[in-house]
Amino acid sequence: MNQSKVSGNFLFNRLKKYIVMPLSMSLFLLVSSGCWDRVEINDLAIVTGIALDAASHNNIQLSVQLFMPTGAGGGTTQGGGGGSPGGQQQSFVISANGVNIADAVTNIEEKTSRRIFWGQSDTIFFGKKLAKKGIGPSIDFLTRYPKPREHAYVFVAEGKGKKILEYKPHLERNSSEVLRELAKKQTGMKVSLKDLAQMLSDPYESPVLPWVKYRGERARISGIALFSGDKMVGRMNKQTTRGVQWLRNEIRTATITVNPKGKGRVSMYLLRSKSKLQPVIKNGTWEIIARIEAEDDIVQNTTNLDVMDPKVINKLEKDTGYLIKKRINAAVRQAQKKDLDIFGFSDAFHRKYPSVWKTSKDRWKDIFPDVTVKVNTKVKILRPGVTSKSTSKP
Amino acid sequence: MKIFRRTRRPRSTQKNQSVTIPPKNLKDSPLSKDLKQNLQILKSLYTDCSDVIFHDFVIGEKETAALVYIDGLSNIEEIDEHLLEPLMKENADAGSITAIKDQISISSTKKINKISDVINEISNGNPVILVHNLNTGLAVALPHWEMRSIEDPAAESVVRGPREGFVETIRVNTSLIRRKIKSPQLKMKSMVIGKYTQTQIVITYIEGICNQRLLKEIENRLNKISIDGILESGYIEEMIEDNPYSPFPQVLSTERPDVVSANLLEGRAAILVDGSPFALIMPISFWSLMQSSEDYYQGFIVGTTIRWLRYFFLCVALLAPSLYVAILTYHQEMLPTTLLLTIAQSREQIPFPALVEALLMELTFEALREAGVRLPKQVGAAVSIVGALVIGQAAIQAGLASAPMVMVVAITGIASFLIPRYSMATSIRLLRFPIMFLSGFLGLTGLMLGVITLVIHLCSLRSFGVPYLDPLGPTKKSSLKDVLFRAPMWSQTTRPHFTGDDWNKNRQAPGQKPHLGKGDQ
Repeated sequence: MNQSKVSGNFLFNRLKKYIVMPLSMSLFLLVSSGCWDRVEINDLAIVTGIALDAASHNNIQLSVQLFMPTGAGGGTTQGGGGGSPGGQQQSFVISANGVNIADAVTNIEEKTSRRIFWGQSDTIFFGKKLAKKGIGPSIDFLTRYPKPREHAYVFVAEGKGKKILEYKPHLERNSSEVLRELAKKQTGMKVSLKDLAQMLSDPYESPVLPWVKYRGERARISGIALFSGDKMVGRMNKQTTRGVQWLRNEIRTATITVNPKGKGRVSMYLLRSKSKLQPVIKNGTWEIIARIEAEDDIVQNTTNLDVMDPKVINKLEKDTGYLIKKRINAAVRQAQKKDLDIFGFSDAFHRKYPSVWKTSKDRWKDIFPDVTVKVNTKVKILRPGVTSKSTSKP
Repeated sequence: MKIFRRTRRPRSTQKNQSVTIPPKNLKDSPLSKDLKQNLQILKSLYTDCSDVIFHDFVIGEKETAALVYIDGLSNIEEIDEHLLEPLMKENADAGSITAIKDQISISSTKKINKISDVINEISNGNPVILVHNLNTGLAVALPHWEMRSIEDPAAESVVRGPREGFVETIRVNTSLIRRKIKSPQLKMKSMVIGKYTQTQIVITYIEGICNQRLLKEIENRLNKISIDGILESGYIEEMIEDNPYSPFPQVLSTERPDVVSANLLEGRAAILVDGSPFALIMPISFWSLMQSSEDYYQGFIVGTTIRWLRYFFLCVALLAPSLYVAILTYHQEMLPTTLLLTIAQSREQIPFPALVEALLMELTFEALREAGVRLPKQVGAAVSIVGALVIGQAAIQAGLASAPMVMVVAITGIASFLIPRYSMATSIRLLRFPIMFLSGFLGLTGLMLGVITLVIHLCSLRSFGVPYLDPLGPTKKSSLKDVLFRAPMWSQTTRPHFTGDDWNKNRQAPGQKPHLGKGDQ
């Protein structure tokens, strides 16, 4: 009886020393420091896309595309629910005006019951008007404020950016997802917020942003918007943009169709490509040699050429190289006419000739239009496809 | 307040008292020549013990004698046939104990001189013959009692490997080991612990492989135990652990003779306890708790892969719910957008914060598991049906839990079943909850704090002086082959090294990798 009492006390002492004290201390620690930024997912208004447009009185209009968790029809009791097929409203757009983007954000917060959550916004659209006025102030907010993603893709919309956020796509949950996937495919240009900030911070390089067209309930990337500083000054069409992409080593998918002698066409899918800019300064002339390597597969052949013949393949490779050269030259011509270095030539010269660059960088605006661009292409056709001669031709 | 006052009482009171056992002096007294006196002492000791039988008989119609045994522990038929029958013959000689021993046809006998020896022998099922005019008794080995047959150990079943497990009888258990390791180097030191239970304990090891200092330490710790009874090896485990406050098991308990044998061959020692089918193996490391005997019976590629699978799911079992809670309440930007949207959709109806939801589901799961273990098999099926409803579709439809949470709970449950040692799985399950709280309060920072605390604790932990994370904690390259991988049998040429210089290093000859002979016939 007595013994058990004593050992009980002994245990209690130990308990106090090893469990009660540390536990109570850590409880204080947890309560005093934790939880302050705890947000349940149910209290979040998840922003999936941002649009910035010019408003009257020099104001800015900020529109955010918010995900509607309850909106997906039928998915309420089923828990998971899953994305309901097109047409169903899964997101909506809220907008507010403000003197700048920070002010507009506050105005939007006033309108929504939930806390605005920027962490998942994948796309940022600038309306054409605002882009022409200058995107600098808005970019400052988007890069300074830690919540938005730096990996978000930035676009310039043909009309108002808000229009693009508002349309309901068929395949994806919302329109910003559509544009994100389009950008990822890199058939058009792909510029993330981080890329844009880098381009803006370089005084010699001119930023470009993909240009989004919205026609017939469908948005697509069609060419690029050209910027001088933070102001949009012009556009480039889809075909010429390909030339820019070749030079910037940003081509990922491409279908190249050549028209060799004789009737019909040969089409090729691009497998891999690599481009390298090699700057040369010789006798005061600034020159860029662009080396382009590409590997293709033939996917369609409507000529009567036998693509199993190495000679024919050689010829086709040359034709393809010529086509690429043509595209690039067109792009260079346009850029030089507008005096906008959108290819990163300044960087290439800076790296190769740092001392020359130091003395002549202030004249870059004068040098750039006269830089001669030589294109060396090396095209390889790897596979002629599973048939040799065209089956439809005799 | 009262409690505090009581704690201040000096501890010395504990030492002053002694439990008084009245017949203590009687027990130690030697056997006298007077049979009646001997029997009187024994009978007084065994007052009210209806199972103790005192059978009086006459040897060779001359000398009175008595047979003492406990009913149910000795083989009565054999007593009648081989003990009583020869002794009760007309010409039987009762002159000396040796003469009596020569007349009976029983192989194992033992002369005893003390009352306490009589008690020991009959408790172990050996009947004792006491003869008038002789101050020596004779114990004959005729123990026989009901016991469980050797079965497939339920908690450690394997697909490939021996299907025998220990039983509650220590002699059967030692024989199971002896049948695997036949060398006389296999030692079985016996001792008795437990004031009342007088439980037999056997320390088994292989001489020449097992470190002598380790053995001494084990014996020291066992000798310190002074306890009323040992009913299971768990009692011993708790009394000899290095760090009694750690949630991690520091002694490996197993039901499998092959596991014990393998560990003995690696230089560890084992403790067998009478009445428990669980043997204790020491020293162990964290990693040996993550190994199954089957790792060694399958190919080494499979063994290695499964080991890594276990390591991965150990992390899942420990961290999955915490990670879910942390990311969902603090780091929503870490999830891919589409995943977050899907989770947001399924969580929309849930009235609880993620932490509460996780706790609710995890606690329910633990309750179901515990209920399933304790319940009789027939009711167990009902529990699993109810369980599937409670943490399944019904919970989702009732809007109390989200589908992703159910997934997390399910995967955590499965993961915890992947840990091959039950004691380890239990401590991991337990540790899941504090980490869950930490990540609920502090997000991923809390989760990492929890993990760091755990790692520090593991680093400081020791099992019989051997670091718990050995051979990874203090890195020992030669032993890593059995932790990061399961090296093939032909390359496991060295034994693991625990401590000290006297290390019997070489296990087998190197270069035993099977290959086709080149020209040598």
